[in-house]
Amino acid sequence: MGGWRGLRGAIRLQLQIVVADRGYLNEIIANPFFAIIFLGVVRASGRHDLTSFALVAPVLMTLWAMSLEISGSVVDADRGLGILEEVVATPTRFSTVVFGRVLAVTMLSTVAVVETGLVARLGFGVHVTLHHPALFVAALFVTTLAMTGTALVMAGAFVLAGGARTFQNTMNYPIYLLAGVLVPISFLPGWLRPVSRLIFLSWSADLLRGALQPGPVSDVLPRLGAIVVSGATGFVVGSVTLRIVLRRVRQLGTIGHV
Amino acid sequence: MNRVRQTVRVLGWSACAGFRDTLGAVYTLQSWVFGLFVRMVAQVAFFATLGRLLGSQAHVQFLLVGNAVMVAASSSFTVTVATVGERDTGTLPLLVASPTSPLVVLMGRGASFVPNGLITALGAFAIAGPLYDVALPWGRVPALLALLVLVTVSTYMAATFLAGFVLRAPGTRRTVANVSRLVMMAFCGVSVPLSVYPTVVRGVAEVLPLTHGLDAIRELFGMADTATILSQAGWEALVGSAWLLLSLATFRRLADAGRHDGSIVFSSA
Repeated sequence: MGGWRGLRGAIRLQLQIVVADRGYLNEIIANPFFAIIFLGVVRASGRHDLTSFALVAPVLMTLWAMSLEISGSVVDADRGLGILEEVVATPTRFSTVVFGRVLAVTMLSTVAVVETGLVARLGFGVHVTLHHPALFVAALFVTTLAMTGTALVMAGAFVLAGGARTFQNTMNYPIYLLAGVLVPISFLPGWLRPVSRLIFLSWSADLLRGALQPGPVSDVLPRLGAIVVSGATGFVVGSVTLRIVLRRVRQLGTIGHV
Repeated sequence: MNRVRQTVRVLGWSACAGFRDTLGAVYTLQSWVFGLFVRMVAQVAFFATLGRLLGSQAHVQFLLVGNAVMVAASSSFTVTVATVGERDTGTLPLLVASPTSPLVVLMGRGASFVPNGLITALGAFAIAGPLYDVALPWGRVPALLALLVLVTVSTYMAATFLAGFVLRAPGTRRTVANVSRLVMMAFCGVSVPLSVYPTVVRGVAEVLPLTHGLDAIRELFGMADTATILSQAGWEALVGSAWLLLSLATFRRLADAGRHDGSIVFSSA
């Protein structure tokens, strides 16, 4: 019961932070520009059959960028503000607080679906048709959960490995390319494809694109399962990592240090 | 003459300070290679792969060239963010109070971002070019370098203009720099041909840096004659000069307004 209340409180807190911190809004602002670029490219080339590719990519990019933003700041920002001690001292488990805050951001990121749809409609006169609405919702839901799990892992890793945050900004385009968020991984060299399949976004991109296309979508359950397994692994590894982080900063007495 | 010499001297010293900051405090060789260079090359490859999806080598070349040049231009906007650093370190009030224009100092301090953009863009061409079969004859490489310098510097002029506004509202620095980059990515012909857009958007793109310089570089890759390339390069230089004049005209006024209302403070809010 207390856990739920703590979770709700963490979500509410993070939503207030998002409104005040332009770092998160930057990613939401970026979405329409990417939608314009991708839709502009496919429409200019006359490849209207690739419209679903141009619609899915900005959504996944916003989801990923937002989770990178939260994972880089969720622990460090509290340390910087000197409130990590209070957060740790509350009866709610630290991992619950972090989970709630990360979940708030990834849930909010789904606003990218609306943004992209509006750009398509108002900017390019594209009527987006969800040919498989249930699949779209299911794929987006499990993607959001998997993103939360992955962000938990990254949050812990960024604190544990001192210099890792330097590379936070590196983790966008290489991931977009490897995971095929815009161009399917079949366009990548054969030796890279197994690596791509380890990134849950590759399964998400395929399913979301499939949901926007009229033809049947094959292997839905195994592919949804791959995303769920990826997310669940993230939760477990992320929780363990955060426990290690907490133990370490307590032992070293650096819990309040930047 | 003395004034010119003094300006050049201030520019030189502040550029030295900026280079030392960038090389020491902002990046190490390791963080530059793995933290920035890899990301930028991946960005170019990401868009070049979109060209493959579209199904023609012409699209691959269009997207690769556009985005590699964008990498160079993008680096210039770091000055918009870095300028606020002067507020954070408490040196801005001293700069505003000094007899030298703070704009000259700030332009010098951020100059290290220009070679940073150039090296990254050239690296992107060198790595992604062969991977995607986009080549430029060796004889044209010096012209490519010169045009990249032109694009980066003209974008730098627009970025310093924005830096003036950001000094008045430091909390917006990342948003201003990011939105500026995105506007250029979307509307300067980087990935999307300008012909797609309405006349108004095309008109705005004409007065933004990058548009004409990128056209010149596309002509270079298209083996156009020197006159065609120089014509586009001339327009880019003109646009860059206009942004410089705008910076000079507004920066002192913005700084004076900050003195007047007390917003030039020793740390940012």
